[in-house]
Amino acid sequence: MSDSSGELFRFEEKVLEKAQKIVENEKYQGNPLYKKYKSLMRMYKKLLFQSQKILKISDNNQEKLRKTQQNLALLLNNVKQGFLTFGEDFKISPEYSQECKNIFGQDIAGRDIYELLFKKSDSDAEKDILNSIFQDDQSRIKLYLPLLPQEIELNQKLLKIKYKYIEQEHKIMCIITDITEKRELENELEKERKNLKMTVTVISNQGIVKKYVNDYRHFFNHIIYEWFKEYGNQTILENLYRKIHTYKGVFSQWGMRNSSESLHKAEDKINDFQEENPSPETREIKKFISTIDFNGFIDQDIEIIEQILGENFLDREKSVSVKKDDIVELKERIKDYFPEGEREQMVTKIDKLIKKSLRDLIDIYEEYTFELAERVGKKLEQFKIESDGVLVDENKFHDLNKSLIHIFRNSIYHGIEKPEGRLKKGKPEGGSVKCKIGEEKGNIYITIRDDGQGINVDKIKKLAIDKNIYSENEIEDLSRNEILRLIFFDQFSTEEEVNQTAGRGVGLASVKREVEKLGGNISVETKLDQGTEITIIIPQEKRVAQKDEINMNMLMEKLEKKFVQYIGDNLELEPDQKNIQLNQIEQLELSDFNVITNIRFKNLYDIIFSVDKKAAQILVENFIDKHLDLNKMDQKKAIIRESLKEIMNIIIGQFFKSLEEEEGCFEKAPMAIAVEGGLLDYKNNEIIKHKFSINQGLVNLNLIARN
Amino acid sequence: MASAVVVDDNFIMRRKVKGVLKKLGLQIVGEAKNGIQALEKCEKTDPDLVTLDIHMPEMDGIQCLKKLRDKFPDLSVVMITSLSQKEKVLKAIKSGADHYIVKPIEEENVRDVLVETLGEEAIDESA
Repeated sequence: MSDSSGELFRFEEKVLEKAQKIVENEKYQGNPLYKKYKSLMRMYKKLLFQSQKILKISDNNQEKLRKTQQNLALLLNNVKQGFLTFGEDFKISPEYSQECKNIFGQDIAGRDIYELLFKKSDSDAEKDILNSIFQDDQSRIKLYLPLLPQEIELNQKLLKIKYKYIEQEHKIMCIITDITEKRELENELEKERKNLKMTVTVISNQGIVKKYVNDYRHFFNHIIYEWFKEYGNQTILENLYRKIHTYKGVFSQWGMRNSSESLHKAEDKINDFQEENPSPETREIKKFISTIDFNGFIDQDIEIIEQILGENFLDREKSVSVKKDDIVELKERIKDYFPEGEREQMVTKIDKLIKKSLRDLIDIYEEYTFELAERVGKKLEQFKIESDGVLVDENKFHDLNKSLIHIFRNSIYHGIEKPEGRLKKGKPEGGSVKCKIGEEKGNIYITIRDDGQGINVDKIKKLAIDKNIYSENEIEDLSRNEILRLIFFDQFSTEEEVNQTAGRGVGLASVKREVEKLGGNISVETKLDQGTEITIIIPQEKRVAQKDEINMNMLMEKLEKKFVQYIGDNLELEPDQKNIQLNQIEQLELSDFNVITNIRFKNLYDIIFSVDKKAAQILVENFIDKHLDLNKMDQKKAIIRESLKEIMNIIIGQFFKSLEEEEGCFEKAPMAIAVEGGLLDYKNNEIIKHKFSINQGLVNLNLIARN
Repeated sequence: MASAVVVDDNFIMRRKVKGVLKKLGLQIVGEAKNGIQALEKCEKTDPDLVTLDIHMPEMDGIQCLKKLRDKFPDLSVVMITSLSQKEKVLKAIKSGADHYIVKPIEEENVRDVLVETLGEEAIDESA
């Protein structure tokens, strides 16, 4: 630069040089103008020096400016954001950042902003907004900017756009960020988070999830086809819809979103089908149902769960199905994916796996109860669970908890009055259902109360008389409490009319059964127009038949297998399996012919083999290889009894052989009886009943635990 | 102290808006549940500010806005809206609304909007 300034001032410097020589020359020193010349020369020198200095400063500044511009360009070209501006003509200014080229894949200088960014969006609103922006007062321009789209999709990219009004230039600046990858990553993370959440929910509810998944499969593989025998075509679709809706709700509650989304689509399909086929034929419905892959709906979620928790997590036979390592790994993954706070919550959830809060178990009814109230036109103001943190073994309480649905259902159906009815009685329009859970003196108690109309004791009395449960005299001897307790009895509660008039009924017997299975007690208190309170008390220490249930299931499975095998080998038939149920009984109804035996395998069990005449004929004919005349059956009863005993002997013998770990043995030899309308008495013994049919003959295989 | 009239057909929304405005030091001098009532209230109380739900029965927020503009040129009108109603918001701005508040009503946002329409001095959070 000094070079250039030297160059620039060469003439002036030569002038100065010349002047200096003159001043130094002695011959001019006497000249009268010498002094003035010398001072002029000095001033010239000063001026030149100053000029050079100014030039230097200016040069410096220019360099600074150049550097700043360079930096700015560098910034604009390297920043991972697109900057562009446009003015009143909507044309994009030539100064935009390099990233814009990556985003738009072209030079965008002079392009129309609307054409470039907004044309593909769904409405003309953007055009409208753009047109309005510059017509309004400058100070109001920023009002319009939030109306412009903040996110757009362009060339398969997701762009986030911020807008800024640049007052000095009267232009709008767009700051564009490509968030495609970020969004994809976020979605991935979100998916993983949801999967982990679902897994945690599923393991903390594993008993009930297993149950529901099995029920679900069983329903769509078998039960639905049974329905065709029982229901009309229209009813089938409606019931199917309801069933799907229930499963959808349940699965979505556990975060099984793929399942619930698929079920949601299935609901839509049914709606469409019903619209297109107002009165479909059975064939059409079957065809329609077969097009829906119900099994596939839940596979995806279950696969995800199994990936995390190991295969066969939902395998029915295993009671504890999660490996410790899997739990540890699950916790680690949760730490990776969830922020503090949420993370701890989930880990606590897992830690509580062994014991579960009873409150949480009952909590699942809140939604159900509200929904039911809405469905039947009642108003529920409050559903409250008060608990002092009672923890229970979920498996132990599963069946009882499941049966509690009847209490909540009764509260809504028969307890809580319709809003207008409540208002007339001076009650608040919406009813309440309150549930209290506590622990006291080694007992767990659950009280469920509603503030509905209460139970009409007189109506129960009348019904008990009508149904010949008690005579008029007898009933007068009963206490109020004893009468109230009738609502828990089978004969009483299965009748539809009880349901309608007395205001209580269906299902309470099953609650009582479940309570008694746990060695507990159930009671009811009610006040007319004030409400009903049901109290359940369960002893904590009672050894539950849980283990035995597993044992019994296993025994029945083997017994049934040997029976089916016998029929297959000897009759070359495949018995049609009707149903299987686990229950508690007080009485067992016998069939025409029965073989009773008592076996020991860890515990004592009765095996009762009941066959009707038709089945007896088929079995015995085959066994003795002779034709039996049904009409002369009476004479042959002895033959039949003996033959059946032998058949039973063979089957049970095979059955004993199939027991691997321990040996089973007869406690008593089989005994055969032929009866009509016979009953065997029991005391709430556990029973597994399995029904078969062989060529229209009925066979019952019963396994009963002797307590 | 700046005065305000709150107009919304939903009573819960009115309560919410009133609560936030009061917290920011405004005096609520009236409320209305439709455009007609709003005009009457403004006539009576001559407020500094009106918050106007963009969607109302009887007289729509935008119609009401236009009438208010005609009658009270100095009045600040702030629309209450949801972002899904972009077209209406645009219409409102074009019809002279001073500003708009996007639901859900949050104190921070309301504060910003008030500063921009009434000025910093209108706000008194010590109230």
